[in-house]
Amino acid sequence: MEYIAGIDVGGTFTDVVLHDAETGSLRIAKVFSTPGDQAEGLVSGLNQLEVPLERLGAVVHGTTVATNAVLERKGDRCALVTTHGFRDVLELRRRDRPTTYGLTTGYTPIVPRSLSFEIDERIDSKGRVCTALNEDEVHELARQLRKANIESVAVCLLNSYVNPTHEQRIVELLTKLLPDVAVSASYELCPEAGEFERANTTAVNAYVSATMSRYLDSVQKRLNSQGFSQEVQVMQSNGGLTPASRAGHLGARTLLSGPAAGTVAAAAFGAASGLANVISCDMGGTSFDVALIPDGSPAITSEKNIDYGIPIKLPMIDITTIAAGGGSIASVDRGGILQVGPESAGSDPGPACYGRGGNRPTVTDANVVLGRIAPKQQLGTQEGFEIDLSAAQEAIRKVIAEPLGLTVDEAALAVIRIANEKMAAAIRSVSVDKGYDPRNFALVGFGGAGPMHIVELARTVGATSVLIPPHPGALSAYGCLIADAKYDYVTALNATVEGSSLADTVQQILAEHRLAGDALLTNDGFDTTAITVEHFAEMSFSKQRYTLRIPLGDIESNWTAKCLIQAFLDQHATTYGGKHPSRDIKLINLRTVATGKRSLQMGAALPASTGHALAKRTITFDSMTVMVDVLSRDTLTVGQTLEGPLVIEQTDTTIILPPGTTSVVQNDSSLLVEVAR
Amino acid sequence: MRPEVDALSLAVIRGRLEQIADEMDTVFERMAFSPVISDAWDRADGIYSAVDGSMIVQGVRGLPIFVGTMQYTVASVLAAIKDPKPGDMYLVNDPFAGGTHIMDTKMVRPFYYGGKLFAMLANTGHWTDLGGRVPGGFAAEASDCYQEGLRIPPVRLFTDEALNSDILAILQTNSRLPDDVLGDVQAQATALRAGDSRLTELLDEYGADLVSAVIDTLRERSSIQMRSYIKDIPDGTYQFTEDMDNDGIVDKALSIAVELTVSGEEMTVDFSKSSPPCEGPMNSVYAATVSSAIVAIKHVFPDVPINSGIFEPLTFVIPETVFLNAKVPRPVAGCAAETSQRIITAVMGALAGALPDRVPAGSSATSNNLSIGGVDEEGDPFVMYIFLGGGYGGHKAGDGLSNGCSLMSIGLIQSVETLEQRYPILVRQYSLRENSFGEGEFRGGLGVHFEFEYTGDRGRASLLGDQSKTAPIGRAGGGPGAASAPWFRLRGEKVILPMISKGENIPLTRGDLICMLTPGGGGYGNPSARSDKALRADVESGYVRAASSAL
Repeated sequence: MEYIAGIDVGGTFTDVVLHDAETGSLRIAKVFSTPGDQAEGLVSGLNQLEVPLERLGAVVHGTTVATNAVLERKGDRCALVTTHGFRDVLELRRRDRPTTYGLTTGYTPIVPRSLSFEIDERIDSKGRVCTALNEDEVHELARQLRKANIESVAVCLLNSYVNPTHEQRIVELLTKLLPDVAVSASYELCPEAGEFERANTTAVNAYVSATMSRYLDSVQKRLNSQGFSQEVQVMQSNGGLTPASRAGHLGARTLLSGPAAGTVAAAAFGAASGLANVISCDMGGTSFDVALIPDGSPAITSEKNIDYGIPIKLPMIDITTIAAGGGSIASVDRGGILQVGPESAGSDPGPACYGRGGNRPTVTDANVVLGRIAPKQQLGTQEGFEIDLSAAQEAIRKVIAEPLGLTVDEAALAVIRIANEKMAAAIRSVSVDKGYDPRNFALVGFGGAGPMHIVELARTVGATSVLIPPHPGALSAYGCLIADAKYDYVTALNATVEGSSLADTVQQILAEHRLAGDALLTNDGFDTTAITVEHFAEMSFSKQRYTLRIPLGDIESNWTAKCLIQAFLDQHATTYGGKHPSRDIKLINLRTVATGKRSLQMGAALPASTGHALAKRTITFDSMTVMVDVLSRDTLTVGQTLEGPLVIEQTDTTIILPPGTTSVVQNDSSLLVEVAR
Repeated sequence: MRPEVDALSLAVIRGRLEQIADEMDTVFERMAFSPVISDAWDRADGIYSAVDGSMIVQGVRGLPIFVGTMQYTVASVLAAIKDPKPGDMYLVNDPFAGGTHIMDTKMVRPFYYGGKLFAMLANTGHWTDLGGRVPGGFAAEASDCYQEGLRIPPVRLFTDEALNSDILAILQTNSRLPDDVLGDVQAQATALRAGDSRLTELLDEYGADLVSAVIDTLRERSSIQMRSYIKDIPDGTYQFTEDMDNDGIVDKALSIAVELTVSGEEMTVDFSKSSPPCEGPMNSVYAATVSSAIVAIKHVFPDVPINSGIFEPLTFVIPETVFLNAKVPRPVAGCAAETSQRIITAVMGALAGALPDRVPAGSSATSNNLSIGGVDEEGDPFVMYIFLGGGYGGHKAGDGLSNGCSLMSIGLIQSVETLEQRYPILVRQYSLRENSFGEGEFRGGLGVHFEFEYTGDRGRASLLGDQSKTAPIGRAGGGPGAASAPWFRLRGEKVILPMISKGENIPLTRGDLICMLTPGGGGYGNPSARSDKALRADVESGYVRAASSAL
């Protein structure tokens, strides 16, 4: 079992990173994804590396199957069961509209109204039964569901997070009456207050369960048929792994699978270079994903909208996505002010420089004009594809330079700067949101376009260190390779922090969480010594809507009211810096993360050769236009120091090191760049 | 001599200014105690001129109605204050000093750079209760502004960062929720301080001269941009009249009559044919009327910038003889939440005459502001305030959104589970209101059915709504949506309020029911053009009952 593989299936490419335990070497394959059947691209990527699958010890998979099913509303035939009077819980949302201005956007709920059913029962906010469950109705419901030919069902009753008995009973009956139907229960997935978010999370989970199970089955079978003997592992949005057999039923936990893996890798490379605080910056063709990683751990959110009206109430790495990428279109607005995005040229027609009829300038065109993307550069694996420099220049000249009275180079620099400003704003807002100053963080730049922008982006933010991992174009696959297994537990309390019995209650709940995590991880094959737990309390002033997440470490006992209140007030002061307006404080939820550590010995991650010879190229920076050396990344050696301006090329990306930078090649082949202000 | 502003600095500094306002919004909503701020985002933060209060920038997620009001607030503070100092913060909620209703409480902080007054930072948030004759402030039968709550002129609440405990004591003593008052004050002050330090950093980086020049340029450019949108509207005069149910005291319709006159790049918005000032609280103040008209324009042209320059090509005619420019002591509790929305639909109606393809059919334009005060099961006093959404109009490209937020708002409603945790109610039904949409090629969105039982003691309910007598209209051949139809069941008797959409201090006992049926949106285009597939889906989903459908 000398090999393990991390595989990230994205929208365009499937990346495979293969680790050889004997030599410590890494090999990479990048093939086109196969949207109809993603398993096909996955297997062909693996096969390209010619690894005998019987010698493969693990396959860890980042997938977008669930995400695409949700965003395109192409999931299973799914029904929703809820409390009498609340059939429309999904379509009502929380009454929001997608944009502050403009009244013409619609909404499609995950489950249509025609497949939303009500059951006569009611439990109040204190968990008391107001109306008993009518089991005859459940039997009748089962008949209707069978008639409607549904594949999966989500059950979410009002206040089931306080008292789940009715929901449990319905799930029990439906599982018995409809053995072929996958049942998702809200009290199991996310037992927290907020019926819309809980119902939507449960509906999403049910909606993708059949699709996910079929897909993971097919991946497993194909790999088995070639000799693979282990269970495929799947990356979850929380940055941890779970076996495929479980992931099929927990599709809602995989919606940020790939991006989460990228963040896990960014954290690992940061730690390896001794950087405690990093921010992961993934810039691709259409979007920019940013996540805060303070003290080496990616920031976690307990709820996130993955689309308008599609909140997911599950712990996941807090990744913020904005529409800024190589394809973002630059324009001059009616007031004569330069804008970049949010519109994107996509891949069709794509940037002007693709020569496919696009005549609106993009960020990629600006990079071409400035010499940062070489005219002869291959894009992806398309044969014979050449960049059209004059089309890029023409688009920038006509749309940006002339209206603003700038030269073409000045206009292109301005486009890059505004794109960087937008990304910097996203970085600042995720930092400020959590009470951090981004200037104290190092930026980890990856994604196809990340390494080209990352140094100037750091200057815009005011950060002075940048880290560029060895394979910036395949970082999510690498993250899959190194991730640990992770499970989350939550118990809602919504209790005022007071009283002498509080510490006992807290201890009991945290111990239950730990035991549940231990059981699952042991079942997954982890040794007791490899299992760790971290506990958290989510607290707020009783009138506040937003909670703060207070880390409790692995300590379960002696969390008295006094201790918890002090911990909360300290965190509140750090986060907001404001005064404490009240002492009426609530403990909303207790959470636990159980982690199973995988024991991996990662060697130096040597990048693959680009085949590019040493060359020179003219590049325009803010301060100068200058002829710079172009190096191939595989020629760099550990400990080597590089002074900018410089270009480093590798198969998956181009790294631009502007003047005023000093870079050192790290032991793991990452490039640590010190940026002078 | 102001420095030359290059294209890059202009775009960069504009983005930085916007972000400062956004960050202030974030800090404010995260820390706030009033759910209407933290959940319903009934707040706004921005940067304003220290000379005349004009708006430099406001957060993009700020409540729309505040887009045009805050600069009048800041101007009133500038006029009132004598000796501003760094670290001072002023408080004001007077509707007649550039405000809306009494609950919208503003804080204003003079911003100093290099020892000189550079700009004003300000924010506003809806405090749940500031006294007055009904809990929550929406007194439907108030006959003057003194009955609506504590009216505060610009006062210095913080001196050199220190909170004036005397003023705080007055505020807390006059509120039914004294804890919330302090929580919201601290949230607002912290947000303003955050804005102060971020703006200082920006000036450190770019220099006060360049940033000042950018601010001036942005104002000019915003005006140019506004002019370009007006130019998109064909020259002519366009009229529209919206009738509101009544003022809460006299059951007589109130007309919002708007006349838009477009001439080249300039537009006059004339409300002078509207009804005279009214006895009840549906009067609007000048700032809220102007702001509502801007929101309407932004709903049609969403890219209109948020900067005082947009006012330059606009002329407003709002004489004091109409109810849309009320003066002391007129009651105004309904201005921000109700009258504002009908001003928006009136202006959109007039714009539809000029741009029939761009304006959706009529939308639900009442919030059904419902407040209940009483004693909960533990014997603690509470004030609950909620407002409800309704259907938006169908439009050229699709059906209207169901359960859309009030037109001048963007706020979330608290979840039913949170409401039941916090207040003594048991919600019986929260669903779409069937058959409430206007038919059309593109149908209107559905209104909602929100019905709950009161489980507390000694309750008093107040409702301030509208649109129960005139429904959202259809356009281009589409039909109207359903009108608002609230009802109560009090001690077993079904009750429809005399003013239907308005009433105050309605005594509640345990077991009483309150049911809000909110308006559906109007349809767009001829119903016969609706696709068979869409018609079938409407029936299958039960949006329409098969018996009453055309099938």
